[in-house]
Amino acid sequence: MYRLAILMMSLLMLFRGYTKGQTSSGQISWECILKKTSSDEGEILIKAKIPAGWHLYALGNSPNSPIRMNFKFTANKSYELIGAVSQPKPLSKLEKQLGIPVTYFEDEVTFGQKIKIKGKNGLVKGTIQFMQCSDEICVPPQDFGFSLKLRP
Amino acid sequence: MKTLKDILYILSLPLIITMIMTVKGFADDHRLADIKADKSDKSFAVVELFTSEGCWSCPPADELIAKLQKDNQNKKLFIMAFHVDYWDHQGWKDRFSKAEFTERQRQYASWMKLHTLYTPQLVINGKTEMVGSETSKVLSGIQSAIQENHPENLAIKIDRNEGRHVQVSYSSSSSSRHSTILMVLVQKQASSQVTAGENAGKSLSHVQIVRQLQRRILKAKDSFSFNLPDADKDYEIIVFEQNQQSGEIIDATSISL
Repeated sequence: MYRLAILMMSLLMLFRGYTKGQTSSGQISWECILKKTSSDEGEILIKAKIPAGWHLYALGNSPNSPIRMNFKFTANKSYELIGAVSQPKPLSKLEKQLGIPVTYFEDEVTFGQKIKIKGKNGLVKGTIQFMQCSDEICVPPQDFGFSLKLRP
Repeated sequence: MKTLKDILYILSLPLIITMIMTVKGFADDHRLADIKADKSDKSFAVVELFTSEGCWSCPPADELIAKLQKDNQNKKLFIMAFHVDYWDHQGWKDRFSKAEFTERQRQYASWMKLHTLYTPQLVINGKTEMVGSETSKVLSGIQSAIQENHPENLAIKIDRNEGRHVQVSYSSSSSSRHSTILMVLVQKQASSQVTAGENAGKSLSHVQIVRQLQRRILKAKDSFSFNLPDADKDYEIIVFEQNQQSGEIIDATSISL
């Protein structure tokens, strides 16, 4: 019986023109937390949840490509950045259109930014500029602003 | 015995899927041929594709409009490719992109109450939108549009065509209020050289690229001037009347330069 169900599903998907990249349900969501590693150091963990069928472009793609992905932190006296934003090893593929190899993530990814905490009750503010595509469509680069309290 | 049945069953699935895909492919080819051969003149289809060289998912949509344009006999099929500018940055730019084309796409998002812009987006007669690479949807959308009944109320003629300077005038018998008239200079073919990556030196080909867009309030007659970007290319001018409250396109016509 379940085999019949699978067959029916496959046929239905074919006839309906299965679109896994519809814009309304394809939004990437972000979550930021601070993980303290010592009394005056910590790491800001920025997690992206990527809907099925979509991909998020990784950091470090060529500036000669249309890909925009970056993190901006607003400087203030309560903290200092240590090094640059880290990311896990991304997936990679050759984009046929321009022949450029590009790197990206699917499902879920966590970026990290180490910081030195210098003041009490400080605030880390920043913006993530990111770009997402499915196999069928791409949506314009988006900005996600975040703000994180530094509790003593 | 049961295992053999299972194996046969599993093997039959891809076969069925391939057969369905082939049938769908034939149906699309048939639709495409029908649209291009239609001479009924009952109605029109204004096809606006929002695309970019910087959008990885756009080439199938660009190919689809190229198929529609090739050897097209349907005088009531008007195709325009608007290259949006939101993929341009730093060392990368689509030379056909313009901010006002992105603005036009935003206007559609507002008319159609869409949450976000995307490429490739295709709009038919200002009323329906879809992913530009969904061949079956696009072709059936065009077919429905050209089967409607619309009175012809627009006419266009060339007043002057000297060197790069072109002056075109239209006359309209439309009685609708809230309408604007849009005149669009379309370059029929173009190719861009890829300057970076492994495809450096190769060219990307495009069709029906919108180079200039002008709009004014609809009058009984008016004239527009254009300066051609390159004198040695083939162009056409598409003129259409659009309702500014709903986005619906009321009538359209075109003339080759």
